[in-house]
Amino acid sequence: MDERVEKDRIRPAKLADAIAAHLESLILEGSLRPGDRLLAERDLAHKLDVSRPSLREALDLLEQRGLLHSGRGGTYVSRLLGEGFSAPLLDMLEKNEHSSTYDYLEFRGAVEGTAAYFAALRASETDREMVHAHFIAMEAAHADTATDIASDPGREADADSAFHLSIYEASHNLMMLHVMGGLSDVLHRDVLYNRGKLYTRKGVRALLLEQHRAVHDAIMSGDAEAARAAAEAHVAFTKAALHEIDKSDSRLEKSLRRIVFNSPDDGSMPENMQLAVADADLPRDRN
Amino acid sequence: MLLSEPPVLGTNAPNNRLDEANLNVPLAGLLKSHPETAFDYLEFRFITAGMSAQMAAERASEKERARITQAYQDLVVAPESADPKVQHDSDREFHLSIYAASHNAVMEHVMRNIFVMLHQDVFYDRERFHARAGVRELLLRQHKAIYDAVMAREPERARRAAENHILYIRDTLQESRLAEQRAEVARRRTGRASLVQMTDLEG
Repeated sequence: MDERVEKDRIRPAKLADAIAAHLESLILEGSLRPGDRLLAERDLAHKLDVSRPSLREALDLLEQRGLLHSGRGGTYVSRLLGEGFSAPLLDMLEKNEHSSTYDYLEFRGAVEGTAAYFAALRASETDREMVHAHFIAMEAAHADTATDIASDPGREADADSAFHLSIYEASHNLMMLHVMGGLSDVLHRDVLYNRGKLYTRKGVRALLLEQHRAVHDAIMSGDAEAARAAAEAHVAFTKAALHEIDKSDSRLEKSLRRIVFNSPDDGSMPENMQLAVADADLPRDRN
Repeated sequence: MLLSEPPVLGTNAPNNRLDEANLNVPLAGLLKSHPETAFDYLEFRFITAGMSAQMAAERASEKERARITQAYQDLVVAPESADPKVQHDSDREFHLSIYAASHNAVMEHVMRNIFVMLHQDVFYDRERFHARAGVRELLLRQHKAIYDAVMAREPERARRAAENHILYIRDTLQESRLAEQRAEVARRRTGRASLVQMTDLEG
């Protein structure tokens, strides 16, 4: 009886706790992202319509939990996976550049296929708008790079990362979002741009854009199986392309045609392109 | 672990350093305070479990197969121990031995980190989970199916066995959460007397 009475007691939630819980949810769902700098305390308090002392208490609470940290000029959202996650990955990439790159892409291929599948099934109208906007941005970056208006392949690579992140968001799986987002933070730009120099190659860029378009179209039309196939084919192609780059820079063009078309080049893009890419059998580079 | 392989690709963290390494992953606290994310974890693990079992069936070296076998044998005798930690550790070692044999250092690293969270009960209370009637036996049967397929070098069967294992955990977790909610409701009903006039209850 006493225990039950105890349970009946109602206590109003402390304001600071309620603020902390609210901000925490925003971080969990990815509305606030690692690296984001929060508004200045006064503005944030105003925005949330709470008192500054309560806000400060909430921010302290979240800082203690490692979700926020104070840095130059304000309070930042922390990386959720921490040093223990990223340091060994960078170490791996340093020591075994090729095999780590392939491992990353092999792993990503499987996860991203499923993420695209769920995105096609679960995306809300807003999610679709976001995926679409990121694709348009990527297309624009691609056009600018192609015409040398603003020749910065890094911009296209970043638009690429943002597009893929929007798919993880649309998949509404928070585990995938945070783990693959964390992995991408550490590896994506490095693998696709700095090391692979993938985005500095004209022919490759055009093919990647078409693959992104296939993923985009499948998600937009809600075709889950097509989205999975397109995402898997895209990552498999990336892996195959990097392998060709490793093997020989000069023979790249010819090799890519062989991988993609699996037949003499007649200038058209056959229906079975994705399958041909997915089937491309690569020797594993392992030491 | 006597039979463990030399660390693949510079993931030099030996098993026993696993727990300290990531105690402060902010994501762990975040997920723990939102129990519904357990199902996101299981959806994610469905992919990696299937993939790693398939790849282990294809790629495991003799040394890695020996490690998996040792881990499986430890897992089989673990229930004889009264210490739940022995059971949980043997479960982790069995799954990690398969991730290691999948020859994908990035996936192995990611899953090591996730297993740390699993073992901090971030996703669910494993002891309560295992205590449910029949769970232990069924889990053991599922582990055996994974083990047999990997050792028989049958990738497709290994993948399906691993996926079934995760689906079973998902369904069981769903059921047990519902059962807990129902039990809570039932308890509140018995407490009805504490908030109403006793005399009115007579009629």
